Amino acid sequence: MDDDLARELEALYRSSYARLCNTLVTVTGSRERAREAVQEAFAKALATRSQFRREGPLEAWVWRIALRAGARLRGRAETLPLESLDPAIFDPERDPELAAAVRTLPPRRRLIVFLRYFGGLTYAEIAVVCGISEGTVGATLARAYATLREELCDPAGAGGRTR
Amino acid sequence: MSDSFETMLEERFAALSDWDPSADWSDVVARAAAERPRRRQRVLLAAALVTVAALVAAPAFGLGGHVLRLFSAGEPAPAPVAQSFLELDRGAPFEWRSAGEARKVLDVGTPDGRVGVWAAPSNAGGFCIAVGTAGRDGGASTL
Repeated sequence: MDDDLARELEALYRSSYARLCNTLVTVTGSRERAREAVQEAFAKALATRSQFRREGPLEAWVWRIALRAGARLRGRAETLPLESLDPAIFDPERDPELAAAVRTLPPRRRLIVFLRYFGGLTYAEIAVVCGISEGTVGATLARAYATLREELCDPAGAGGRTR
Repeated sequence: MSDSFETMLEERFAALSDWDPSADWSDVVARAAAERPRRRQRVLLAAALVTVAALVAAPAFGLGGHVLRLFSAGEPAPAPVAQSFLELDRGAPFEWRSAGEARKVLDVGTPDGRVGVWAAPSNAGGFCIAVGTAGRDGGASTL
């Protein structure tokens, strides 16, 4: 059982490593810390795998550990829910318009957007990671889309800005 | 929200998530191996502290009799633990030495195996305790 889980964790590590790093960098603000958080998270998951009760997806369990590790490395409280995280697009100059639009979202909504787009997580997985219902994930993303659409497609209407 | 907007959003996020760092599973395994002893030490320390607190508080709350019954009900300490108490007694002041047989007072399952706490009454009326995992002696300390 433990060995099976160790193999599952290794497979998950290989399949999700880049997605985790790309998401964690929005939390840690540094690529080095993002990598460190991912390594630390999988090490902790591997060392404590006997605690995983298969009550939810393995991937969501690891993501929760990784976000906590990212928060700790950023010097924030290692607690959940994750409202205390203040993620931001890393390297905003690559798409300043999108970075600014995302910045208008509340932190929790921003995190859910990043888990969806950088992490590639399903609504169900995001729900487990954030400790909320799947319906709340859908509603949160719908509100985020509406804001982003206003900001990106109708910036004058959103904030009276001109480009 | 239109499909085209969502597609546009996906493409723009995808363009920003092109960092492809090299993974290193062997580093994860090495870190996990280092993590386990640290976790075991924390569990042992917590178990010891809980036991110490319970034994210290017992007389204050009039629980001395219950603690004594706990002693008589607990299983006798295995040889390595009994040996640990003997070694502890050697050279210790008389009042700190064990006055009776060590018995198990706590046995809890943890993710890292079972943790047992054994206690023996001391000549001064206090207790000596030893903490161990999976039936192995983890050393002894006096109260």
